[in-house]
Amino acid sequence: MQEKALNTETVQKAYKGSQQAQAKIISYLEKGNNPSVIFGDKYPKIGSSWRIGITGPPGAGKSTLVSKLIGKIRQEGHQCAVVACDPSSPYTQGALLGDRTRMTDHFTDPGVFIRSMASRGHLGGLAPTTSIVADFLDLCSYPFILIETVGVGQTEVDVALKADTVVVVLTPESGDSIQMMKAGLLEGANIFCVNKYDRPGGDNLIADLEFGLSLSEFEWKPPILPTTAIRNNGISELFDEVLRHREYVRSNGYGDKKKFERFDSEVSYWLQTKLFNGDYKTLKESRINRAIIEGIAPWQLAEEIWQTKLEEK
Amino acid sequence: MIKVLMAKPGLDGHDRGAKVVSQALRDAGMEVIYTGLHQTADMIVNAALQEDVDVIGLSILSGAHLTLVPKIISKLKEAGLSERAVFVGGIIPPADAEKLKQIGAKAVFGPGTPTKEIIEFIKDNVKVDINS
Repeated sequence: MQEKALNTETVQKAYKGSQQAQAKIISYLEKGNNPSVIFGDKYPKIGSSWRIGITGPPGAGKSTLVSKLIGKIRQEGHQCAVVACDPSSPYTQGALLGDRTRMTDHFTDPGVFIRSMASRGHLGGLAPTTSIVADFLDLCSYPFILIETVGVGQTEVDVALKADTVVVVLTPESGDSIQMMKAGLLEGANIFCVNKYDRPGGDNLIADLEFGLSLSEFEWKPPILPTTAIRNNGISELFDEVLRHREYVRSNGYGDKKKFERFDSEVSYWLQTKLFNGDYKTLKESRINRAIIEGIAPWQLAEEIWQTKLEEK
Repeated sequence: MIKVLMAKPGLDGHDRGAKVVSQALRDAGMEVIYTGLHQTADMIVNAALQEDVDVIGLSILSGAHLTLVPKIISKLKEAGLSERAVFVGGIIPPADAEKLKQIGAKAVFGPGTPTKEIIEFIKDNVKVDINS
């Protein structure tokens, strides 16, 4: 019943600001379709938006913080887009996307575009197409794009690459000083929010985080901000820190380094889709049973498939 | 992939039904965008538009269905989303259910409806490309 074909008119409408057209294009990209129709020769023009990644464990208050940050950005007179990720079931592929529930204040604001994204089998905290969707929203001229990850553990750090400023949201219950010394999630932070700061233990967590940070050397030392998002406390300070970080990145040319790394990871992604879909997939699946029967090891089968494809070319 | 928007329009706070259905649809392999309580017609239409959903589920237990549903359906039409199937759940007398169907609700589900029935209704009313 839904329109399936994506015509150039929809693409033009999207770039002119039609949210309905933008929504359709995001669905198209989410399905892993070839983005060329959408991007045309515009890809090099990407980069005018600032992407703020919001990450942290489940229930830390990320969506509420995003909602308040939208409010602040709107107050400053800017439009903004939000991509909010929640997990897909590895068993049924279904998903319950509930981030929107916290953002109801902005549902009818024409300057705000909110899109929920299911992670669709990807394990890094974002959906496989979050980055390309953000690229598209960038070209739709949203000056700020908020990227909210699924609730993460310690190693889902995709957002560190996909966002320009990474905000890690913790709560007073997030752990002791040893937790704050662990590698992974915390290393990727450009800003820390100790959210739900009105609960007991907020200052202890700040002290533990500061201790953890004091053991490493930084050019940009991530500020630690106490926030109580639900009461809008600390949100202006957070936005100021985002702007300060943006200024730091831009004036030091760190954006270029990130651009390279992000590009690299995107190329890897498109290479992987080639490897895991289409005829590689068919070839692989057709040979697994035989490999098991004949006692061929997984790496040997991988090599065999690789060679077969090389010879075809 | 079928995308469903689940919303509770109006002022009642009874969201158990909406949650039960959301979870059942999730378990049936759909992506369910849950928008929560106290939604206005404009909020629901905008969310449906931005999320590009295939189906919209409305849960109403306040008795205001004859006021809320027509408003939402007409706003969906205005927004160019009239092809999206709308289904309604809640405490709705049979006579009212007929009225809602006449104005464009595709289905009305009362208390005790097996979730399987709702899942089948959605699968029958949404044509999603197998390749998508």
